[in-house]
Formats: sequence, structure tokens, C-alpha cells
Amino acid sequence: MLAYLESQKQQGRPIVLAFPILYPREIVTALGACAWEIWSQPLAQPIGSETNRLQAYVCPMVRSAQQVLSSIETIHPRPEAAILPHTCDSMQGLLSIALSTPAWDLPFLPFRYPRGSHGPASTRFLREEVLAFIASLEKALHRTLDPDSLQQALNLQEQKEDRLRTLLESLRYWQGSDIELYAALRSLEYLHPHDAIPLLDGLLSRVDRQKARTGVGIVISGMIPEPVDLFDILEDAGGYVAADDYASIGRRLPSRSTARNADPITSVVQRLQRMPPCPTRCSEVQPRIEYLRNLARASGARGIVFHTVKFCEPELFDVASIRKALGEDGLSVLHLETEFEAHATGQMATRLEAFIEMLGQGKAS
Amino acid sequence: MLRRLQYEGAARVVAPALATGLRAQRRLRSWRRPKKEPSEWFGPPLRATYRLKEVLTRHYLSGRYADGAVPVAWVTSGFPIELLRPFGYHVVYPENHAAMCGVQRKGVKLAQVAEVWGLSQDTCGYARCDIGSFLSGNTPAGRLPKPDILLACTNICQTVVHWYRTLAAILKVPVFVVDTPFLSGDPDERTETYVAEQLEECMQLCARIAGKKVDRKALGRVAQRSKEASELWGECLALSQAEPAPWTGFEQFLHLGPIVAMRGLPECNAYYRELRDELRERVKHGIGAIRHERFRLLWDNLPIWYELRSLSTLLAEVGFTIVTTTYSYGWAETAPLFDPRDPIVSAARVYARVFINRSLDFRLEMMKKLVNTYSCDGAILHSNHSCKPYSVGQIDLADRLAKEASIRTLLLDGDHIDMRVHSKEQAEGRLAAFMESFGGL
Repeated sequence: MLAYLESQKQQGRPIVLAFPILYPREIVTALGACAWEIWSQPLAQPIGSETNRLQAYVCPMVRSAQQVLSSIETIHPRPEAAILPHTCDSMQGLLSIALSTPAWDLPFLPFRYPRGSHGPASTRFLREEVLAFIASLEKALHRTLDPDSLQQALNLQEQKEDRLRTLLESLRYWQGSDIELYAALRSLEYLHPHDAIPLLDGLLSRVDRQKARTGVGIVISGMIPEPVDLFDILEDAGGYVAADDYASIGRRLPSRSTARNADPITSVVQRLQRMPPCPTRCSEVQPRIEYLRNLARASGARGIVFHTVKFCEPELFDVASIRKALGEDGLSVLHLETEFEAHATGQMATRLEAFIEMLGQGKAS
Repeated sequence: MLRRLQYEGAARVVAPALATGLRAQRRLRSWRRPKKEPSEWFGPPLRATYRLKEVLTRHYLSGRYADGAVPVAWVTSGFPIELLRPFGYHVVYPENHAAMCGVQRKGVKLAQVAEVWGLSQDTCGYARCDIGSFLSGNTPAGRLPKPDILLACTNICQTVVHWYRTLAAILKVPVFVVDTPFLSGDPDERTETYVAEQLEECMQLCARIAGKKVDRKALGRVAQRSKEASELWGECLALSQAEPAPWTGFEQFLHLGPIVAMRGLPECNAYYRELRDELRERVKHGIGAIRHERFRLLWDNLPIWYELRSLSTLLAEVGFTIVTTTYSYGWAETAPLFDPRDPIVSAARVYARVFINRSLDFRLEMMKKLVNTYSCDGAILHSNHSCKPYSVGQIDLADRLAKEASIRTLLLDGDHIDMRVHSKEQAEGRLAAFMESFGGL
């Protein structure tokens, strides 16, 4: 990963750190930069010698982000800026810390998705926020965005997303292991779209619509696919991922649109608004229930696994309501929490195995 | 019609009669019982505390009959309540209600109901307590009226959106969220315009639910009353600059009730006039909240509701008193921004600029100002498991405040409502060590 990012930098693409979850990535591309998303601890060796500045009850995603920022001086290639969207109260708190820490010597860019009742005022504000984001990224990178570049970046992003969407819609026919699939998909966190497209084409070549996977299909929802050995456990138990709703993967794919806008900024705004329901965007619960219900139906999944991060309030509120609603439909739900352990815990494994076994026997929870 | 009579009757007849009865009972008790020895550590209790009970009893009692009589809204503490007053809404504050449950140590039991329902113990304790209260029908308020609408404002946290959306799904009522984007730097016009647009949208919706027309003159009058109420509250707080302080920060938490729940109503202002006058009298006569004030402290974050008494005593025994709190001050801080001539736009400013919606640097400056104005010797920062927006950044704040204001600071782990994540012994031990560090004990 670091070697790839170094090569990007050498090609004249500055590196921009992007913390979860939602920001207009196409703008980073349009400005000739490469986004490096930090969803968890990105390096094999723990980094960060600085004292921990977050309490133990803050989610591990935000704590990982703090560790990365604390070690910013030691990271090569050195990023030119960092994007910190207002994903939740803790991520927002980290942005506040970042802005008041001179030692974290980077331009920090907030991105505030409107959290209100999504009326016309929200759309206007989102557009202004996108424009403010462009202005601050231009300043940080000492570059100017031109509409043609933005349109090209949008096209590239959509090509990438079309492939990813097709792949995620075909998980039932994926000829490989889930662990292999997710390892590849996680590289999308830092690959430039030019390199992401061939990777996705390669993955799509391993989809065979004549050969459906056997076993118990599940929908997986959560923040990120970590620890990855969870998928080995799933497979050993006779299950597989039939549909994906990870915030780092499937939940950032805007729904298809045939509308073409003359103004690329309008396209950026509409793409953000067309993202699947997510509590970190303050979506309502009911559309999310419908969305997950449809995912399960379309993929033939027999249950849903919520694989959430410890202390993640937005997800934890939703899970309770979704569990109730889907349970009434007869769709079984399992909730697993992770703190980004290196390996799935024994308890996690036992619960997942029992869940798949139960689904395999056709029992409802 | 009958419901309306019950509602008005509860507010205008039963509650005042109950208050008179309570007063009479108190007098009778004081005649019968041998006179209590004055507390060794605390000054005489505030008379206004009894009045506070009356005011809040009236509010909650009338609330029992509100649904079906008048439109009812459940709102977050930072919601611009002024919008609702001209339509005659009865307003319920789930956070106040949860605090009341916390003081009475009923929070955990109610939270557990919500946990059985499916909410994780890692979600906000206020939310769990209120959802549990609704699901079980168990409340120290007797009964909470069912809302016609839920109104949340993100100026205090994003959690309220998740909390209110969950409540809306359970109660099957609409929810309107006013988004006040976080201000990482100085307030900006486009953010405040966005907030004002949402307030206008929300007001129209509330008018439709109430079946009334928008009355902007009436809204202006309400804004004027709110401004006065916040200023009166500010005057009450400022009286703690006196040495000894006439009341403690923990008392301020209790007396916050009306400014949170009754802003914009005449009785709110009347109450704070009475409180201010009593505090002035105490300052004039040198009556302190504690008998031997030696060290003065700032408290940051919400209180640990179920430990107010024990913490007050622990502090008072060795001459420590909380003289100011960031949370109480928050309700006075933006008062000057209210403009009755332009209630919507000024409300957008007032509510978007609350300190919890501002950067860490802003919060640090505010705390330094409080430390200086109130002559604080130290600060306790309650690291509150339930409240991420208040707590994330406190490790930095404690460190920087100690350095930049030259005071001692303590990060005290706890939770505003969930006693299960608060270790009383450990907290008391840390507090004792902190107080010892001041020397001379």
C-alpha cells in the first residue's frame, strides 16, 4: 500500500487522507490527487508514540484515526491534507482536536453532510458545502479545479462504481473465497480509480452466473470487514456473503441514475444524496429497513449479520429498530461487535457458527 | 373539550392548590419537629428550591392531561422552543425527564428496559432511560403526554437524531430535525442562513399540526421573554462571583429546569427574578452555599445526577465548592444574540452558536474566561461515557486549561445517568487525591 501511494506521489498525485465516511471522492481525483482512506489501523506495526488523547469509550475507528494523525510526521509518503467528515460526534470531536493541535501539521478539511429533515434547505446547504470543500482542497493542494476535470473524474468514478455494483449484485456467483474478495475490495480505500477499474474487472471475471454458491447466504452490514478471518469462520460454517452493506464498501455506492447534469457540481450533490441509507448521514430508519430487506430478497440471503464497531452510536441505535422490524419478517439477525482485534474472538466465532447452523436448519430466530 | 378543561384545571387549579398544600405541610412539619441542627458544611438551603418544586410540579402535572387538549411536542434541550409557544404547545423535554430519573436513581432500571428492547448499553443513557420509561410506562412524573411531533436540534449532539428517529418509530409520530452544522471556526452566514431556513420550515409544520396560523408578533414577544429569561439566568450565575459563592454549581444544575423547559413563558422569568433576588440577598449578607469556602472549582460536562449530594458533601467537607459550570453557563452565553425584531434569524444564531457546537479552542477560551471571572482554583472535567460531544477532547482541555490558566485540573470518569459505568470508590479516591494536591487540608 505504502509503495503504491509513493508511486502515486511520484506520478504527481498528492496524497489526501480521508477519514470515514462520506465525502465527494471525485473532487479529490479531479484535483489530480489520490485519496487514502483510513478506516482502521492501516499499517502492520502500530504507530503513534503520542499519548492517547481519546477516552477508552470512543470507538476504535476514531482512535485509529487519532493514532495515524499523531504519527503524521513518520508517515511516508507524507499526505498533503486530511478530510474529516462530520460522521458522528466522536469523529467531529477528533476534527476539533486536530484543528487545535499545531503538531499535526496538515490542512484539515471538514465536510458536513446535512443531518436535518432533508428539505430544500438541506440541498442548498449541501451544494454550498461541496463548493466550500472544493475551495479548501484547492487551497491545500495549490491547484484549481476546472469543470472538465471534474466531469472526467465523475465519469471515472461512475465507471468504477458500475463495476463494483455489478460485482456486489453478483456475490452469489463469486468464484472465490470471501476473505480474498474483501482483501481485494479493501484496496479500493487507496487505489486511484484508474487502478481500481482493472482490479474490479479482474474480480468480475471470476463471477460465473452459471454456478451459484452453495451454502447459507447472508447480508453483512457494518462499518468495515475487519477482522478478516471472520469470513473464514463464515465459510467454514457453511455460509457466504450474498450481499454487502459495509459503510466502507456497499453503503457508499449511489443508486443508479440516468439523469445527466450539465453542471458537474449538481451531479456531485445528487450522488451524495443517492447514497444508500446510513445512520452516519442521519437517514431515517425505515428506508434503511426497506433497503436491507430488499438486499436480502434480491440476493436470496437468509439472515443478516450486523458487524458493528464497539461504541458506534449511530449503528447501535439503528440495529435495535432494524432487528425488530426484520425479525417480524422472519429474517434472522445476528449482531457482532468488533474492536478491530487482529483475529475474530472465540465468542464471535461461536456465535457466527451457531447462527449459520440455525439458518441452515431453516429456523427463524 | 373535557380534556382541555382537565389540562387547564391541572395547571391553574390543582397544581397551585397542591403547591399551597405542600407549603402548608412544610410549615406544619417545621412547627412539629424539633428544629434541625444547621448543617456543619452547608449554608442554609435556598428558599427558591421549594418554589422550583412548585413550578416544575405544575409543569409536569398539567402535562399529564396535555395530549388531546393542546398540541404536544417532545423536544431536545437545545431546540428553539420559542417557535412553539405562539401555537400553545405543551412541551416535554426527555432530557430533563431523564435527569429527574437520574436524581431519583431510577435511571438504570429504566435504561435496562430499553436494553431488553434492543438498545446497546453503549448508547446515551438519557436516550435509554427515556425510551425505557416510555416502553414501561414508568415515570416519576406520573405520566408523560404522547407527542404529536418530535423535534430535535443537532446543536447539542448528533445522538439526538438517532434517539428521536428511534422514538418516532416506536411512537409512530413525525420527527423534524433542525440541523445546526458544527462550527469549527467562526460562525458563518451560510450556516446560519441554512439553520434559519429550517426553522421557518419547522414553524410552518408546527403551525399545521396545531391548526393555527403563524403569528410573528407573538413570536417576537416570546423571543423577548426568552432573552430576558436567559439574561436573568446569567445574573443568577454571575452572583457566584462573590466570595463565598451564594450557591453551588450543583444547585445550578437543579435550578436549570425552568430555563430549559419553560423558556418563553412568563412564569419562567418570574421564577428567576425570585431566585436572583434571594441570591443577591445572600451575597449582601455574606451567606455562602458552603460554610467554609476555601477553594473554588469549575465543573465541565453534565453532572453525575445520582451523585450530586455525595459529591457536594465530599467537596464541602474540606472547603471546596463548585462555583461555575460550563453547562449552566451555556444557557446564558448566547442570550444577547436574541433579537425580538427578527426572531427566526436571531434564533438561528443563538442556537447554532452554543458552545458544545463550537471548536475545542472556543471551549477552552470559554473555560479560561469562567476560571478568571469566577476566581477558580481548579477544574473538574467529568468524562461522561454517555456524552461523546462533550467528552471527546476533554483530555486535551484538562491539560491545556491546567497550563494556560495555571490551575489544577481533574478528569473524573463517570456517566450522567448510568450508575453501572461509574465507580463511586474510584471517583471519590481520585477526587480526594485531587483535593489533597491543593495543600493545607
